[in-house]
Amino acid sequence: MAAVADSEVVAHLEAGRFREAFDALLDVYESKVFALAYSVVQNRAAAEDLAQDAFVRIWKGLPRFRGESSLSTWIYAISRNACLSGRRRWVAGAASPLDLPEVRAAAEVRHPREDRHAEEQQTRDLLARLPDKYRRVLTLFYLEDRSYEQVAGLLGIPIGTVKTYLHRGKKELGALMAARGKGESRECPALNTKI
Amino acid sequence: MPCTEYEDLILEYCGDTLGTDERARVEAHAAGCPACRAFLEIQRELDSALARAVGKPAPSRAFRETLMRRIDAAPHQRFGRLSLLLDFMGYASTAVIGGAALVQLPHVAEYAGWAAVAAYAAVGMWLGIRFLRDGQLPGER
Repeated sequence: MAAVADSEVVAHLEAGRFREAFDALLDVYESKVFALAYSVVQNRAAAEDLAQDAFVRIWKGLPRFRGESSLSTWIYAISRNACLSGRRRWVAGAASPLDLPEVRAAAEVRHPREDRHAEEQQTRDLLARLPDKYRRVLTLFYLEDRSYEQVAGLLGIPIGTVKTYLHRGKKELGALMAARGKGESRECPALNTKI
Repeated sequence: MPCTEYEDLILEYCGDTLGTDERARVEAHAAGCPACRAFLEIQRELDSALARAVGKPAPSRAFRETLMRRIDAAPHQRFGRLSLLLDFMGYASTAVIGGAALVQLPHVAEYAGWAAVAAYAAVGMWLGIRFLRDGQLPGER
């Protein structure tokens, strides 16, 4: 499906129909680029801004795409650069340090008996405490229907590295969850991991 | 603490990437090992908690509208002949440096330092320009 769409985009580009090419690639890559942006900032509004920046860069660069790499590789490379530089701007320009997910996560203390929505938020808060590389891989893994290949393609890293980051991230997250469940105990006997 | 041998296998098991035989091996082991069974249970809970927490965030309805307004206001960045010239200069510099290195081989001790600096600078500039322009290095897929 994506390969067919990519060939359609390339055909438009070769004919100089940039707007049609952009419309076609947007249909296929909008959700992917948004997922990548979301995995970087964990915030929907900020992810929209980053994804838009990425697509504007892609639009500007369309005449330069010469098929040296696959369309998806080219789009993901531009999107990664846009998202990572956008995150730096976003962190630097956050209205308050409390806007940052990692700061918000560290500051929030929740009662254990809250509803399901609160539990999900709690998981997101713990996720925000993980190192960036683990958080991105974990988020994208679930956004991309547990596809190692898609995560590797979006982040531009080997599948083996995706698996390693995923496993390490899960171990750290499991330890954080166990610690929270045991009233902020600093050790997780189930995983034998000190936090 | 889960058995070292099975820790990664259990994570692979939860990621659904194991073959039938290995899945059966993990299940058989977990059935008889309380630590690995507990680890597997934690990973399953974590897996479903993460799937629920990450959810499926999607861009808002206004996303495309705003994007299209920005696109309409954004000109393409065409490099045209400059792009070809940059590539030509890059390949030519590499070839000249390679040729010069071969010619100067007998005097390599005398010129090695400067030649290395020139080579690194030329190739580095070329790769840097290509990366800034294309968002990827030449030949990267």
